[in-house]
Amino acid sequence: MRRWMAPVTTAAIILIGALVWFAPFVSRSREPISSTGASPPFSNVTPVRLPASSVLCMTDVTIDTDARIAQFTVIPGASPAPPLRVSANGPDGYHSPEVDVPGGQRNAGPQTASIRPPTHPVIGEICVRNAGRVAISLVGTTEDRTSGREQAVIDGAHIKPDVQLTLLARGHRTVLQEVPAVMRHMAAFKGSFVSAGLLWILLLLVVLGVPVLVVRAVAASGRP
Amino acid sequence: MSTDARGRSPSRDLRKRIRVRVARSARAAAGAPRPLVLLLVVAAILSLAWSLSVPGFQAPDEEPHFAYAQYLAETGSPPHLNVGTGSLSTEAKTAVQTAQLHSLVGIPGARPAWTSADLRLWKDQEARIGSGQRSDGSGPNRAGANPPLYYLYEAIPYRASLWGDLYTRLLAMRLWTGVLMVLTVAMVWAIAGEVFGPDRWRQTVAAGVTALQPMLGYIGSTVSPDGFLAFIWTAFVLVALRILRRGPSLRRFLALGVLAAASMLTHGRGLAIVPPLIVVLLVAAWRYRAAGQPDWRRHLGWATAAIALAAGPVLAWRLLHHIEPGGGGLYGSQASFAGTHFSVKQLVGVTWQFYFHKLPFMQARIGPDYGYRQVFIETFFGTFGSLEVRYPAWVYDRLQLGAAVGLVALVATTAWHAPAFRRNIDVVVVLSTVGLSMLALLHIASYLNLLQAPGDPVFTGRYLLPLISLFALAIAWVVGALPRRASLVTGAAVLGVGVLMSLAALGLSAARFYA
Repeated sequence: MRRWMAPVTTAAIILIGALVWFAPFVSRSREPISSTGASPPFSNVTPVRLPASSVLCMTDVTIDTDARIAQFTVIPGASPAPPLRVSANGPDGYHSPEVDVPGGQRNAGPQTASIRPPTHPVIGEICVRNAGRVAISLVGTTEDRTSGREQAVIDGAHIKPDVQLTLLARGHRTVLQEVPAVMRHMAAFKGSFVSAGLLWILLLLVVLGVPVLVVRAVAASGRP
Repeated sequence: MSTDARGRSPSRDLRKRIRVRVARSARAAAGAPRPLVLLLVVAAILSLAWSLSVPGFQAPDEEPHFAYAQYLAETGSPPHLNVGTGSLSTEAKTAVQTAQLHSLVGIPGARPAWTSADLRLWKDQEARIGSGQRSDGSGPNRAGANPPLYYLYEAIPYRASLWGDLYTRLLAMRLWTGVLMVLTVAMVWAIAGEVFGPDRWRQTVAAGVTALQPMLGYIGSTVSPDGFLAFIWTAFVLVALRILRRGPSLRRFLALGVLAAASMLTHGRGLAIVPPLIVVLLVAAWRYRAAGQPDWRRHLGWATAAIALAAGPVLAWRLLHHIEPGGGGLYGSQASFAGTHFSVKQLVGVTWQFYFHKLPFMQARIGPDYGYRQVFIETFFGTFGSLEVRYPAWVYDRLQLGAAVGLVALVATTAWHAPAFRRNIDVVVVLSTVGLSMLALLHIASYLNLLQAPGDPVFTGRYLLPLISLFALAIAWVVGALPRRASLVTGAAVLGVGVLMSLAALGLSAARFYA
């Protein structure tokens, strides 16, 4: 019996699987999330009504240096959606001026507004002003499981629901392009001795070490 | 310093004994078979990767399990099931909120906090946390119905890493569970050795399947008693096989009793170890009495000691631990018969429809459309995060097909090798009892829960992890029975697929949480 048959089979399966399954996955383009202001509802939507001329602010929101787009979901009433104005503020003088979001939508759906990112990550607020003459609702939630650090405020008064808000980086990126960011993000909140450098080493061990070690184990199992 | 009659100090003797033991273990490790060593390294890498790649409290029920261990480590008492000052300690609540971890659970569109601003916020908050804020998570905790053994085990890394922040302690606890996952792989190697003899190829396949089972890698590297239970059951199977293969001894019987007690003191599902314990003792008695062993009466005494060893701590736990109103019966949901209308006919119907289509005379199954595919395929091979990270559907379809082919091959191999099967009937009976006992308990617990809450079957693939050694043995048995060339190709292909599934699971999880 040829000794190479088993390890070559294992290696071939891994290589073929990597090409057929992993390559399309890591090269698929997606909108990278910069941070989550407030999680979307898990099952129950609580519409948050924003009257004309009122301002809704989501406070205690992380705004990272790559945050370029604020995304939230609007639910127009009987009339078409009014225009909105979105701004961002934070400590150390961070301010992203108001940008217009045109109205006119008749159906519920996501809305986006460009924001200017801060020079360093801040915990600030994203505000949405109703610049029209009719009220509009935004998708919110009172579910305990989606409740986070953020607080929603309308015209200075706290409200119970959180308003779903996601900050996106600009453009589309593949998972492969996101790997350095993934390593940085993964290192956060993992304890004192975990760094992105350590995770790069671990990534190499997983991606290269595991297949090689399994192939070698298969090869070694045939020896006396 | 005290000395004995020969002028030696006891502590010096102890140190010498430890040195001898360590040296012996090191020699044994150095002489370990190469494939085993390589697979243990693989298991360790995967375990480390899982521990680091999953954000805190995102594994199933990791929040209550951590809270239980923290409260136990801080106060010496388990938390309450239904009452208390808070499910999480103030420290854990603050940590979870600052890192946006609670609102992350099960919601694919959400991401945890990861910026330097978030870390600064946590450092500021952490500086204000004292020991009082670490020990005020007295409940209600839904893991409060669980016995304390796993949480005692986790209290060790928790206390040892008290110098660090909560995330350092959580990571230490995950890594500590991961050690058991690696040991589980080693034990499966030994189990395959007991069943198949020194057959390197079958041992490699069995241990490799275990090391590369994605769900074991994931659950076995988070704060969860499921990985601990998998370790205990695997050790139990190993000791049981050693009793059957190598003969009874006091140490083996005591080990069997300790492991049975450990299983029952870990989780309600651990109660399923009682039938296998009894069957192992009966089969051993039958086998060694039939073989005319003069010592069988002494062995019977040891077996009784094993049962007492298993039952004693469990009874003590139940007597000392106050059962709270509304907390279900023994162990809460896993073994609660209180307030239900148990019907054997209905149980059979519900269980039948879990696997097959409904027969005309049966009532419709209670609860959601949930069956063997969801449990034996999807959640056994891998559904990660808090069930929201999944392989593509085609992967589960092919796994289901592979499992069906494997099952047919298992039956065919068994029929083909019937004489060998009969020669090892004692091993077959014990292993079958191990599997059937756990499955029976899971089906009964699921049925009882469906009676009370028809939407929740309380039966998921990770509950099958204690049977990981049987899964690995079945694959190794089929692979090893094939003609040599086919055996090599099939076994090698199975391990190749295992690598792909493990890497894919880690990649999908990393992309879901951090991209």
